[in-house]
Amino acid sequence: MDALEVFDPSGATEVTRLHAPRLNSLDGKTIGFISNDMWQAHRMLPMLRDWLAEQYPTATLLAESEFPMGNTLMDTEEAVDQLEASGVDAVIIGNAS
Amino acid sequence: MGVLYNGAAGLGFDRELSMVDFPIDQFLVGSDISPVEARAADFSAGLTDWQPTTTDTGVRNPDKIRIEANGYEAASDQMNQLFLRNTWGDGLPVNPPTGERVEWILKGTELPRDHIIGKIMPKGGIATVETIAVSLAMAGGRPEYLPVLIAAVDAFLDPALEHDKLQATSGSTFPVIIVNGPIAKEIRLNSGFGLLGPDPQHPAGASIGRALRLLQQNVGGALAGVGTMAIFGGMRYTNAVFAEDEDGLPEDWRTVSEDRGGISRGVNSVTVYVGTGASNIVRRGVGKEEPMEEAEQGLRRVASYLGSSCVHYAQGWARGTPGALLIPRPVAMQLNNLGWTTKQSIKEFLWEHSKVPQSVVQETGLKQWIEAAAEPETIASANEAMWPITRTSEQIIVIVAGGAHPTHNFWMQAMSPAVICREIGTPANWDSLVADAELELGPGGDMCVI
Repeated sequence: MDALEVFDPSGATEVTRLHAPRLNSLDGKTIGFISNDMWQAHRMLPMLRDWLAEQYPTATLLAESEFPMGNTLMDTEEAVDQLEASGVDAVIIGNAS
Repeated sequence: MGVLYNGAAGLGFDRELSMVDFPIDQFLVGSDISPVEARAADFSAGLTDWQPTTTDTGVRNPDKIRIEANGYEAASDQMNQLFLRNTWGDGLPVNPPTGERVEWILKGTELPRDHIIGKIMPKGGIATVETIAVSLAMAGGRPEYLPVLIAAVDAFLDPALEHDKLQATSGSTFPVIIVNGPIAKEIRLNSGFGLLGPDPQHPAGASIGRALRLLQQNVGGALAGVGTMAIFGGMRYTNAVFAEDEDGLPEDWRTVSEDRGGISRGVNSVTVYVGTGASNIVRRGVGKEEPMEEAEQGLRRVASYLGSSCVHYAQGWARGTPGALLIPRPVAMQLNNLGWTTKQSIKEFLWEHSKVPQSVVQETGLKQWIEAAAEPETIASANEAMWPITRTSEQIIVIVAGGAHPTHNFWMQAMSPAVICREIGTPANWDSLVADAELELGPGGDMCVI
């Protein structure tokens, strides 16, 4: 019997952060929308926002147009700073593909 | 879905996300998006009910794998089958990355094996010197290839190149690695006939490029259709790794690394950009033209290829490149003798004659893509009557490379927001590594053994 001992070529990974705790409810919370401005996000996100407004009338919904849009611009520290300054409790991002 | 899990991992999370997924059909122009509304509750649940399974941070180091079989050949077969099942292979046989083989490869560097070159996105796996050597071992590499591969990985991970986006995009991107300096000949990297391979007399490019590709896939998570959405995925077995034919450069023509990185001629270096395709362009006439007529027609023919509504140009317009033109040495000499006495003079000709009329910019929808670019100077160019394919002529890469035959040029278009150069470091034992290669592979250089 011969044996080969080989490296796993996928290498090491590092988990540096954990996902944020979930909210108990969306009632009274501020929800921000971030759009990559692709894949019909301009239709889907407003539709979703309307639905949330109906279901959670006390929630504040900040439209994607209030934040940097597009794959490049949404992925910046400035966009994150802007989100934090807006006081959002949660964010919905779309649309990936 | 893999591309999104990769994205989470690349940001430092474990490979899990709160998301709502749909088939791509829901997101095409004019599609029925009512299924999204039907699942709207899933979005709010993602903010309130979803729970991640990972509760600890830290480094995850994979264990080595032991394979037992009746004989080495059977063990090697089983390892290859296991690597395919684990999505670590590329369909061609790989060498077993055993401790012994990886140690041999590591003779090509003095960097510590745990030295981190960077994280390969989108998955964010850690590319240590050892991980790089493992990929090179799998790809049939040799120790003397390692310095080039390390420099190429370092350049590929330069933030300006935005490899995170280019790894995951639906565009069929691949890194192009151009090597300058004496190391190219020393490691048998092709700059001549068939430089994009395969070539048993110049095997280095295939191994280095394949190793980089395996790193992109295994460490970076760019697995076809799962981690990279590249629809066609051209050039992906070995990427494109070759050398400039520096002996074929006319007197005042600068090397690629001088042009793009300010690195002196004679210094070993890599220049890296992201390619998306290649076109063979017949350069010569039918033989009855006057020399100047033939040369200018050839360049105009190249310019007509460059002057297209290539949306990828918008990505590199401000600081990157629209692509690289490969010119074989007889053509370089001919152009030089006819008055194109620098690469820059050719770049200016191509830049001027490849401008896209505004009517075409609009008719083809190129204008929207220019206006969607990140850089203000790119957006500001959208209305130019004759739209230049890049901000300055200098950004077009011209390489003297290919076999010594005057018939064709080769255009390798780009989707590259930057062009990155790195010097290549070699270890103190370099001469002995090259001597070992001479013994094991036969005489190197340009000698033809046939």
